[in-house]
Amino acid sequence: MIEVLVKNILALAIVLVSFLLPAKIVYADQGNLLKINESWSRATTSSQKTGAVFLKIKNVGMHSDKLIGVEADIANHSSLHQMIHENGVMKMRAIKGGIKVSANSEVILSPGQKHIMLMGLKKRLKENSNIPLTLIFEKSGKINVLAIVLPAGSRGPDHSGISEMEHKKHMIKK
Amino acid sequence: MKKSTRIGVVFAIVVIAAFAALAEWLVIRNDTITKAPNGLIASVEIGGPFTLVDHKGRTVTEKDYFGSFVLVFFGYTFCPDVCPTALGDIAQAIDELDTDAVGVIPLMITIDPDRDTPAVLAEYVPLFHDRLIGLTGTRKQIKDIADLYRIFFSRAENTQFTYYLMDHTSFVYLLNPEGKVVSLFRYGTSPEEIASNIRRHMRG
Ligand SMILES: [Cu+2]
Repeated sequence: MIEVLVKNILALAIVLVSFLLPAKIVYADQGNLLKINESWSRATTSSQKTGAVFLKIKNVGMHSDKLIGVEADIANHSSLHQMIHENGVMKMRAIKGGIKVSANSEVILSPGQKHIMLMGLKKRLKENSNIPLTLIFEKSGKINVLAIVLPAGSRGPDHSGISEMEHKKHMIKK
Repeated sequence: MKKSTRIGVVFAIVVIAAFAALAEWLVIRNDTITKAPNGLIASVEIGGPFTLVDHKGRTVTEKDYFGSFVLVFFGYTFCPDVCPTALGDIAQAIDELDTDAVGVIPLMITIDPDRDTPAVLAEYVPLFHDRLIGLTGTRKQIKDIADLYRIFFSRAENTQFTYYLMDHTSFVYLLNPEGKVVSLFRYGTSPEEIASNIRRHMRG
């Protein structure tokens, strides 16, 4: 009888404690709630020392997170970049403050928009090879991904989405 | 001249020079070309003669391409996003044209002649299409042709790294067999749209 009582008290205590756990523990779970899909890059020549990685980040969790950095052994320096279109002039600039991924939403890094910039490639990106990368999130911490190297002129594994929207936006009747 | 007058004159010259620079900048960025809708060319004269070197090391001029439709894109090989996208689209447009493609020559003119030598271009252009031709030249030759085509380019200010990047206009131009610019395609124009525009010009 006492044994059963002790068990019940223990169970109650566990439930109570789990409610009182600090928010940080919740975030530790967040890693599984961020899905990284369709990571890809483009083939380079031996003289090109720059590359770009594109991917999709889906946050299926209840908390927003932020991509704040990238690590890649293949390059001397990796960072987050944003393209800026200005009267036909294209500029590439570092993203300060990271890329926010809101709860229950998806962020797409795609050509002409955002990318992970690889500066100072240590070796050429060969078609069909994989580039290991580590994404660093503010709350979820590090997430490892493999980006597939597609042909140099590829628009990505998925032709729909942003690039198609881009196309439509630029379509003007003659 | 009194000292104060002299200072005044110098000041006036500086102001005029600054205005001239601003005016030039505005012309390149805000003229009828950069504002023109896709596939349309205003009556402003664009393009002109050039002497450059192709990726096989041969000296070429605009006359070498007379008789064919020419797609011209200005870019550079260190460009990780915009240039591969544009060149991929050009390559796809060429494939889209199928048998009509024999009458079209795709050109990529580098705006980064310091790094883009013929040898570097020779490794780069076939990644996109076996018919793509890469052109380079001296800094002066490149500046001259970029000006003729209203292409703005400059090194991005970030000097933190050994490797610099460039800001540049990302238009693709279509030249007719007489070497006249007949269409302008903005970044993001679909290969299908480029191909159908070329076909329209071919049919006259
Ligand atoms: Cu970049």
